[in-house]
Amino acid sequence: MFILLVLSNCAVLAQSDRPVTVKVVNINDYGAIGDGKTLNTDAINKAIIACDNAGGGTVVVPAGNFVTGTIMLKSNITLDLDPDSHIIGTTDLSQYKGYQLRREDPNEPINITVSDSAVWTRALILLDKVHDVTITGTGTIDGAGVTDIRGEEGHRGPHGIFIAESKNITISGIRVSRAGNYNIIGLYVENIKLSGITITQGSDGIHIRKGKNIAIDNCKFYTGDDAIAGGYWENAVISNCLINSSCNGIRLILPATHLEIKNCEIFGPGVFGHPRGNAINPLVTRTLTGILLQPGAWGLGGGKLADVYIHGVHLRDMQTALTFILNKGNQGQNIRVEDVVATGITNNACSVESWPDESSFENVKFKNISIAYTIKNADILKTKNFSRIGTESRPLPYWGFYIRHVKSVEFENVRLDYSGIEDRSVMGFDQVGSVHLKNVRYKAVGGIQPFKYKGKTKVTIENPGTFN
Amino acid sequence: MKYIGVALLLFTIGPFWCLAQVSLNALGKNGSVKIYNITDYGAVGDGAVLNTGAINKAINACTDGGGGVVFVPPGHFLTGTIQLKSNVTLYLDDDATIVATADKTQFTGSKLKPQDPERPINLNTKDTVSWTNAIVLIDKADNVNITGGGTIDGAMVPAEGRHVHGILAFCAKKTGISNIRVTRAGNWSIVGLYVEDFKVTNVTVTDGYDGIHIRQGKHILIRNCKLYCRDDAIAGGYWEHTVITDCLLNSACNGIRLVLPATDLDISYCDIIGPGVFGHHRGAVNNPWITNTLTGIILQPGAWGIGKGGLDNVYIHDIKIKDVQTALTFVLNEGNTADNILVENVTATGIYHNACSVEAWAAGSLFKNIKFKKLSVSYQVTDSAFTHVKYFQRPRTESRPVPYWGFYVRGVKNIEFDHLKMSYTGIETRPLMGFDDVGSVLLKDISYKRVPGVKTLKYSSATKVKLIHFNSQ
Repeated sequence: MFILLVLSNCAVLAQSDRPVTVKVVNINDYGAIGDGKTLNTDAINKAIIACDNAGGGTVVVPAGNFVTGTIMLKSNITLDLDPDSHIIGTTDLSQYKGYQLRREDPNEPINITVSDSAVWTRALILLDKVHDVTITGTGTIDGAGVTDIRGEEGHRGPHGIFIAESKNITISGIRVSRAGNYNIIGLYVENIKLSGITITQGSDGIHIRKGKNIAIDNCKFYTGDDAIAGGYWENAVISNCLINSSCNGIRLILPATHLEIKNCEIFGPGVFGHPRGNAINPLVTRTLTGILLQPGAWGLGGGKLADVYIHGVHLRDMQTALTFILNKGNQGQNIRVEDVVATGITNNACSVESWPDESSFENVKFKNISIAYTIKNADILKTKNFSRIGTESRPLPYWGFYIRHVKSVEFENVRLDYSGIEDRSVMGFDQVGSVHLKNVRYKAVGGIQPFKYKGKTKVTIENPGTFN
Repeated sequence: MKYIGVALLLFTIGPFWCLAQVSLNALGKNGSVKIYNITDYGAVGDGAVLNTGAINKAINACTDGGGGVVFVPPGHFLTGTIQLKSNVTLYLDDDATIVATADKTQFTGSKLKPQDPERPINLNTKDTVSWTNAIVLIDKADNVNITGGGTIDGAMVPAEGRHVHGILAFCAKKTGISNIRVTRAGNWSIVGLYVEDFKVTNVTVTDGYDGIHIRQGKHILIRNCKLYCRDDAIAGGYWEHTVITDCLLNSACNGIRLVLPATDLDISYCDIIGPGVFGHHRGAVNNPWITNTLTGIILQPGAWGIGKGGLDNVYIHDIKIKDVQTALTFVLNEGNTADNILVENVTATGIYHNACSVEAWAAGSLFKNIKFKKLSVSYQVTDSAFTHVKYFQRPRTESRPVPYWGFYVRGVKNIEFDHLKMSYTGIETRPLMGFDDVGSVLLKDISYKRVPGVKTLKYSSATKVKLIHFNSQ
């Protein structure tokens, strides 16, 4: 074991691989000291400015524990974190900087309603209106869990990495941990590649509002709050991720078009808890919903949830597998969910719901889906009345699926199972234009009508079947 | 003592009756079971009052009444060792947390029996009683369950030196640990020594040293557990009839590590994904916490002290290994042989240090028959210290670089590879595979990335090699 360690500490190759024409600066040459005590805000920013003055290049963070306030990255800079390098957030809040949020576009509001945006946007690493920036290597950006009583909810501190109004940003290989608020946040961003990142603790993992061309690949999330969240995404691909959250796996709170979620595993319960519990046990680790697409949930935002392709997803041990809901000003179309396996679902049925009269889903398809429920709380079975969803999924009078205000929905090769006692219908359809059920298998609930329809629905069923 | 029927119980603890009923039905006779609420014995769940006496009183009352359920209601119950007796179920409410006190005098362990020199469990500790100190102790007790939805919290994980284990079972038959969370154990989270019918299901382990460590166990089941450990996630040895299935293993050391023999071992449907969420304290002075995951599955009887016996009838299948240093390492030491090992449907990606290996170095040790079927490994070795290895020796406790990038095989009678896919990215200068002291090799339906100018296979004339559909990509 010890021999391996010595070898893995060796960064010779990584450095010699860098093209010689690029300016490379080491933060130690600008006075940074990685002793875990010295405050390095000025030294690190000086190194970046020196690199910037040379037209860009690479700023190397060597092995060490570098305590710092906000690091302001400039265009054409690569921040390279050597093995065993840690950038650690200082508890001295005066060392952090934020930026002035741009005014909201009323047609596409990102709904960040904070009284002082310069305080709320503070971050350990800040990318403010820059382009072509890379953060890479194998080191760690550690927010040290810095809290601020002036912050959001009276406790949240600075974010980990804040990407504001920037484009061509790559973050790869690093670990981001214990951010005071979100670990990685992007607002008004374009061409964002996040890969091979491990995120532990902190609030949300990656939160992007208004982003175009987003790729999140091979990342691992172990977050207290939502792992991936945000909205107003255009062309977003989330692939090969392992997602663990004490809230939701993937939560969309504003519209998105061309969203692909593939080959992801979303496993509960959370490793790190979320502080929504009671006085005795404040940290709750239960995972709420695996994939929750709910534009407008935290404040209305007009637009479409369109061309969504979710496939190759494995969900396990959480309250709800999939919840898709539209709010005022939103339309949903071409939603395809394929090759999804969910087990150990403890609370609520999947749902596709639109509640405002003028909103609806069109062309929704579920194919090759298997969901196994294990309802833990018997009260859930008694659900009779329910209303429009709040921010989180809630019990329904159906155990498998609830579909509301959808023009056309198809289910093909779907298996729905439960263990324990059940006395509800498997699926409920409310104001649904057409339903096509092909090879739908479900566990029979004795004496209970399996499908319930409200309103005029055209139903075609091919090769149905039950099992016990 | 409190005696209540199921009907009353359901009324009293309504919201989780569903779960309670499952375990109570399993235990209760004639539809009734005795419930002992620890607060009736003076326990206070305020996080401050020490409850060692109260909780053990409830357990003793339960035992005196012929067994039943000791119920831990919502709260933070600070305590030293809880000693479970035969026929007792410790039921932790969803919001119940048992928290270890920092007061070391509140803990007890068990007096281990003398080692059988033929099957030594190799716990080389000066004082086994203090080494076996645990928050929940099952000492020579049978038919014991720990369940519910609550947490056992060790409350401290010392960086160096160890504190107490989470749950330790010694000479126990029929132990069931289910649905709970074990967190921040000061040493191993769940320990079994000389156990029989040992089941750990739906358990989440966070932080702490090893997740589940069993030495001398018969009929072991580990199912749907999620282990996020600083040290090895699952470890131990002298296992007979063991099933590890449907688990998520995250470790800053090894995913599954066998340090003593095992027979009839089935490992299936597990994800072993690095790097560790919690770091292991083995790094440099400045940054001692290392999160790299070492080997996905390392079977190495004798690695931590010789223990005779076979590694026989091992079936590893439907495994995903990702972002670890080494995917699979099988090593035999003095007094060990292996036979009938099948590895099937295993996909490993992002392997960044060492080739897979099957190695017997010790005199008299040998792998007789081993087969890899539908195995895919993709390497991303970036450090030249690993791609330019010339000399190597017998491995010590961890895998190490070898002068082959895909597989190293040594001391094997018959080895088969069927449907093997091997790829790498970056610069590679080594052969794909090397064979030393190998009787026969069958390579069938092999697809591999070619290293230009380098011979693909290296073996001596004594090895009989048969290639069928052996192609570079």
